[in-house]
Amino acid sequence: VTKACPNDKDATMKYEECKKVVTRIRFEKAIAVDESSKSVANQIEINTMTVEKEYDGPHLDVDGLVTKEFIYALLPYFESQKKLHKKYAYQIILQILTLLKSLPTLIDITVPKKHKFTICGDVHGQFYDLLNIFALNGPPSEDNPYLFNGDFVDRGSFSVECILTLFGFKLLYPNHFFLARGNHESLTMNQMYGFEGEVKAKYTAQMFQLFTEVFNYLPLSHCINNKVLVMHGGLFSKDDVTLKDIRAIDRVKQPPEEGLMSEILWSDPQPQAGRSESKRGVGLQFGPDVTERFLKLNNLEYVVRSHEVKQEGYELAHNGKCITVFSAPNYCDTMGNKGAYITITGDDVRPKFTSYTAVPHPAVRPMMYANQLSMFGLM
Amino acid sequence: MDKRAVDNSNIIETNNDACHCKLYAIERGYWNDPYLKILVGSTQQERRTPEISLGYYVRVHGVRYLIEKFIKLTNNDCQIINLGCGFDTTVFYLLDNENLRFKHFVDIDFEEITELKSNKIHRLSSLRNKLPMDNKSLKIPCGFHSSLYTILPADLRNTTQLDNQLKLLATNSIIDFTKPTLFLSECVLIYMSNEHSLNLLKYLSQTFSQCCLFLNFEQINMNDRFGEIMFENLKQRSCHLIGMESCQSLNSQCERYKNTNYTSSFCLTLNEYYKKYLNINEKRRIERIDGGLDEKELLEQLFEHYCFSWAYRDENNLGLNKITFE
Repeated sequence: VTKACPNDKDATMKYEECKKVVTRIRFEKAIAVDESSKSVANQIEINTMTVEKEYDGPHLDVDGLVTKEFIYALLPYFESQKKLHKKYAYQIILQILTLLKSLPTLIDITVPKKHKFTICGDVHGQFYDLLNIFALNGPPSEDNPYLFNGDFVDRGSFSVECILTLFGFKLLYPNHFFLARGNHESLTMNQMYGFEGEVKAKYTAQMFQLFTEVFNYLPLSHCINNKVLVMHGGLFSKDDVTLKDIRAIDRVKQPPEEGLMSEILWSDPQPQAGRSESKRGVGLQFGPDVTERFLKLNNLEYVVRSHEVKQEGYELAHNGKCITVFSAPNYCDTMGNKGAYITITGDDVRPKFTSYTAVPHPAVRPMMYANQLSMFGLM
Repeated sequence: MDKRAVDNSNIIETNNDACHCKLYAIERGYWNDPYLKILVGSTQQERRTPEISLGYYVRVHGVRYLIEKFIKLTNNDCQIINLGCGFDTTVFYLLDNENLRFKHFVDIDFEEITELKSNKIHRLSSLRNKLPMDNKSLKIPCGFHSSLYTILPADLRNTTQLDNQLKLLATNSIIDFTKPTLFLSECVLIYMSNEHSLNLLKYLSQTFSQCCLFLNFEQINMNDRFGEIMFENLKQRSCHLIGMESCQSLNSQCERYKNTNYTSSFCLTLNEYYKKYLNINEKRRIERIDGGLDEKELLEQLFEHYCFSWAYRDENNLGLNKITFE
């Protein structure tokens, strides 16, 4: 759809780098084919999948509905490194697909007065740290709602457990458990950073294709009590972006290289005013003045985003108006950072921060399933 | 089974890995190299993370930059000896550039590698035709010889064997121990014990005592969590970083040159190189190739753990101190 235009512009601008553009066009065409091809969901036949009697894990009932009992049996089952039966995994993912399809790109959340709400950042397959969040802050429930702000998978080698847990809670508490898309809920990232390998190792290539499809439907942003806007990356290259514009983003695709969707998933705040090219090569960096103008235009108090590792698990920037929350402690087993989550209440949206250190996990190294020697470095 | 053979095969495996990573980066457009694909053949390529591609980019470019400086400083009257060469294609890169002439280029590695590489060159005209042949029909078992380029099998841990091989070239006037010589060593020393690498360094500085420069690319700052993890992970894959001791710090990298008769030494991490010496437009270009850097910290962490270190002897005062990234 929109692939032709950006490519043409680039081809003209980067005349000398023609060859690289051709490579990129080929790559983007490959993505486009993924999107327009038949949904994998239609090819999955749940009814032909049988559960062997040796399977000792939790079962979904005949409707496949996720119950509290199911989730509470699932978490310790995952913790002991066991595998949910693929039939139930598929059922969960297919139901999530249906659910996400019904959601808008920007979701309005209302937190009633005196009621608590928790925002978490990147989890990156660190299942044992995810369990720790629930231990510290209480498990999700109607009284203990959560928003997970993207990057649920990749790098950490328990991504499957993380995503199935998060999907499970979403199905269980659809109006009290929220998931936003991160830049890692995308094909390229999953191919490089371990999620594809993990899904293929634990389940099937077909299931990975299904995840890719499902991730396309994840909402991009949440707005809490019309005061706090939450997205994975950050703000935009133009000043006049409104919540209406965000709502209108056609999100059901792989993240493009430019535009609002790309920026919302990839941008980073910067200390100095104005905007600069992103150090990442995608998205941009935006200053405190950009945040200020955006908040004013949209009548908001502050934005919460994730996407960047922070030593204490969180960081306030732009005079407290742009907050980063990152929930994966000791990222990649080497960064030594804390993780954090934010809690607010319906009547007082001033953020409270809780930082925590990493908990031990079974000896499965990060990016275990991106099975290359080179994952460790240069040889 | 011969334990040494097993050890070698794991070191040899690292060549495969480096080649595939380089090939991926080349295919993605990080840099040009038409020769590696010919040597390695077509393979199903898994996606590699940008950090790794950028790491190889920096490695290739940093090393090439210093090689070029060396060649120019010595007015093309020099020799280049590539230790633990693997399927490295530097010789072809130099031959393609008429400003980068040299007197002789020697690739050295285990015979399993040199045999493969030599056979490929014999078989494939696209490679063979790049190499002018001379009348000397020097036969090197598991190796290759041509007027400008020789592939020599040797176990670098065995300086007697290495000495025999190099003397073979010297007596046939293929190399000259007194001529300015650049030694390349990319992720080589760390796979041998400290004792072995010190012996090797000493042997080279003594044999080429008049004028030589040893250029090393490998790990550094390994006495932290990252180093621990890399060590453990590679151990699980039977790849042992036995030479870690010299890779603890800038100091330890340079100490070993001081202890093996090199007069001056330098060392800088890839981070420093990346920040100070890489052209900004080039940086922009390469950072965009794989859809953006996921986490800058992780790139910096990786780059903090690799370095260029080099040392030289310059008895003729050619000015080897000018060989830097400045």
